Amino acid sequence: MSPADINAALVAAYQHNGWQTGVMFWQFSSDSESTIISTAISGLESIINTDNVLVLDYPVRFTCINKIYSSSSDSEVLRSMGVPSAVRHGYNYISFYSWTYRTGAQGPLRFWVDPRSFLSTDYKGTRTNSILRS
Amino acid sequence: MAINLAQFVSTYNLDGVNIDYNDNYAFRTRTAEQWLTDFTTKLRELLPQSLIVHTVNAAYFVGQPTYPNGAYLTVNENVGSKIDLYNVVYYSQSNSLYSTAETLFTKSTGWASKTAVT
Repeated sequence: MSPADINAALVAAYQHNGWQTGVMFWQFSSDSESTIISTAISGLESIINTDNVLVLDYPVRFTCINKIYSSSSDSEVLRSMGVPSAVRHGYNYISFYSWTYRTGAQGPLRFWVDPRSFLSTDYKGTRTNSILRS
Repeated sequence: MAINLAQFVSTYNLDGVNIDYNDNYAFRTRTAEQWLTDFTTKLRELLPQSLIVHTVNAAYFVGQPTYPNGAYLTVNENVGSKIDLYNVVYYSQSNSLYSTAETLFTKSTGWASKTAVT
C-alpha cells in the first residue's frame, strides 16, 4: 500500500469500526524527515466526532532505529539516532534495535551504553555533564 | 535474557521494551510458545510499570495447522494480559497482500486469510 492508501485505510478504520489507530514505519533511516509517516497519518489528525472535537490530535507514530546510517560526523550520528536537536522528525515513539541474549546491546542500543564512543572529542556535548544537560 | 533486558531498561531510564520475535523454526517445532510465555512473564515481573510491546508478524496469528501449538494465539492466551500493545506487522506475503482497507482490517485474503485486524 502507498502511504496515501494507508492513510485512507486508517481513516476508514475509524469511520467503520471506531478504531483510533496509529502507524509504525520501519525503518527510521528511510524516513528521517518524516515525509512518509506524515502522509500516512495525516487523515487521522483531522477526524472530528459528532461533537466537533478532534478524535486523535496526536496519533501514535512509531518507528524503529536499526542502524546508524552515517558516522561521518557528530551531527550525522545524532541524526541517525533521531535526536530532535539534530533532525526534525514527527515520530513520537522510537524503538532502538536490538538486544541479543548472548551479547546484550547491539546496534543503536550500544549508543546508549556509552554515547561518547560514537562522538568525537570535538563534540561540545561530551565535555562536561553540565554542558550535556544544558 | 529477561533479567539483563530489564536491567538495561532501568539503567537507561527507557519507557519499555519491544519484543520482535521471528523464529519460524521454533514456532513450527512447538518450542516458541512456551519460551515467549516464560520470557514475557519474567519481564513483566521485573518491569511492572514499563511498556511491553510485542511486534508480531500477522501470520503468527493464523493458528493451526500452520503452527501446531498456535504460535501467537497461544502466547496471547497465556500472557496477553501482560502485554501492553501488539504492533502487528502486515507484510505482502505470497497471495496475502493486505493491499486495501478491506483486506487489512476486515477480511484478509490468501493463505493468511484469518489475520485481518478484526
